[in-house]
Amino acid sequence: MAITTLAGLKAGLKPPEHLMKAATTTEGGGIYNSTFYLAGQPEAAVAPSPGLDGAALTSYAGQIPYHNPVSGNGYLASLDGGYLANTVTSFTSGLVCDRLWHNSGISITTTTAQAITSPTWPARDVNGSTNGEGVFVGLEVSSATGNGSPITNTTLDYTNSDGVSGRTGTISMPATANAGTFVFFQLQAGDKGVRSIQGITLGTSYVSGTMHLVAVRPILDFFNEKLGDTKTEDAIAIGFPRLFDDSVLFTMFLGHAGSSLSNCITFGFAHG
Amino acid sequence: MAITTLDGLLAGFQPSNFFEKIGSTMEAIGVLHSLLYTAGIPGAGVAPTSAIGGDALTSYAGQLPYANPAAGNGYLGRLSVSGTAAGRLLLVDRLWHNASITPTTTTAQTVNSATFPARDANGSTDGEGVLVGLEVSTATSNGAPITNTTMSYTNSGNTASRTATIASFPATAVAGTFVPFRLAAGDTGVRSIQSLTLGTSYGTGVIHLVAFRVLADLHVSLSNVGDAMDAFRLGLPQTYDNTVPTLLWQPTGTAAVTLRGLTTYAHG
Repeated sequence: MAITTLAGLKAGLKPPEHLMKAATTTEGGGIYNSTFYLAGQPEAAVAPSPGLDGAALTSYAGQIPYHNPVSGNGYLASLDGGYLANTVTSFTSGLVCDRLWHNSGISITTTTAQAITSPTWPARDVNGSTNGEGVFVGLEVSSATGNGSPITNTTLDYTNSDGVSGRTGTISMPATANAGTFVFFQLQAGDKGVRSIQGITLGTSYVSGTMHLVAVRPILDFFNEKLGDTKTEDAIAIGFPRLFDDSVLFTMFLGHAGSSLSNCITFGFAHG
Repeated sequence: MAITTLDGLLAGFQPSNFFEKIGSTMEAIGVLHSLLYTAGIPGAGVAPTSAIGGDALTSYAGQLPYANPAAGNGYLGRLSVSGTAAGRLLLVDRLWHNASITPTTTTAQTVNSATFPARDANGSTDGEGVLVGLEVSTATSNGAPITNTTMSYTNSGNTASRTATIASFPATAVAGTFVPFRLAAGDTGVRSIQSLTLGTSYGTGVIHLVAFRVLADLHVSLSNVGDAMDAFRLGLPQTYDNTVPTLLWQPTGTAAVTLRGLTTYAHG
């Protein structure tokens, strides 16, 4: 089964879910900020503690509520996003992601390789498989780091979605990154996603703080141009993205230097 | 088969493809910049190494993801982007590119391009809507702008010996600089390329000819806030099998820009 008509969409619409997060000071211009650890609705997530190898996720306290369809497929059917408090600027961009895996236990001062054997991702890549196409990995900060200047020599050892191992991801992390900072690893040429992770090498000490590797599938981005503005997008406008069973949805947004943002988003779902 | 109804569009949406291109330094305000060589997601592409006759492209490492429909047609159903600076994004299908241009030769260099893939505006090899740009993969060292570079081509109406010009190719162009040729009056596309005459030495550096078709463009009016175009605003442009989607950015300044967005296709 699948929803293939407007009538099917109408029949399959489900009650919306709401996200209302407390204002937070963002890391800086053009850097994603995860709302995962912010107080509000849903409640703040607790920083993960599964160890370096991490945990494949089918649910996690603090995620945006998601209910599997009794039959057929699940879809994101609409999105209404707004930002209510912003101390510097009045616009931003948001990104909705499915959180497939995360870890903990990264030694923040170890500059050599830290081995990781990630478990198989949940079957929620862009094709509903475990291959990892369209799955990307970021470093997420849950407790502010202490590095005095940006770090550009951190690398990720990964296997790509075609099953080729020994691939290297690179990243540029900001200095003294605030909690919530989320930066994606850049992939090697030709790679379309990450299937598994074999290790991380920080290269330079982050001095203090807590960071996690997080594997996500970006699902939808959305934009606001004015303070207090909301922009409602329907199923056609958002490309009617498919959501797989046990999706662990959360959001991040692009910050402006020193700005403070409060997120307020309504998600519409459909089953069929 | 084709998508001809809203139902068909709804049923045909495919998973979105995320992209993030990190911190590419621009040549100048308004000068297009190819993001093929920029690190990020997907990873940076490697500069072509083909002969001067070039390669018709059906895939290329570093392109944005594209999957052929199992049946029916492909369409661009949504495009979004935000940037750390204002500018204009072009999503293009990269049809052909070459290498082996001698940057110091000022006389004609014979190209005789391979037949372009059947991905012009009408899904043919005629070249309707196909344009050609000069792309830099290693910075050039010409000390002043160059205004006498020309290209001999056959237009999409199959008229040979047409001459395209570049009004001004910038001095010491950074890697990524992308300058489209201006076609002869009345021409609506390029079917093939016969030769390139640089006119003036580009010094060192590596340049390529690239044939492309614009699929969509999208403007970013404010930093860190973007825009999305749905199927209707885009005009539901058809994408043909083996499309090689790549990005061009028209900047409003020279500062390094990071771009993020999604492409969404529909099949049916």
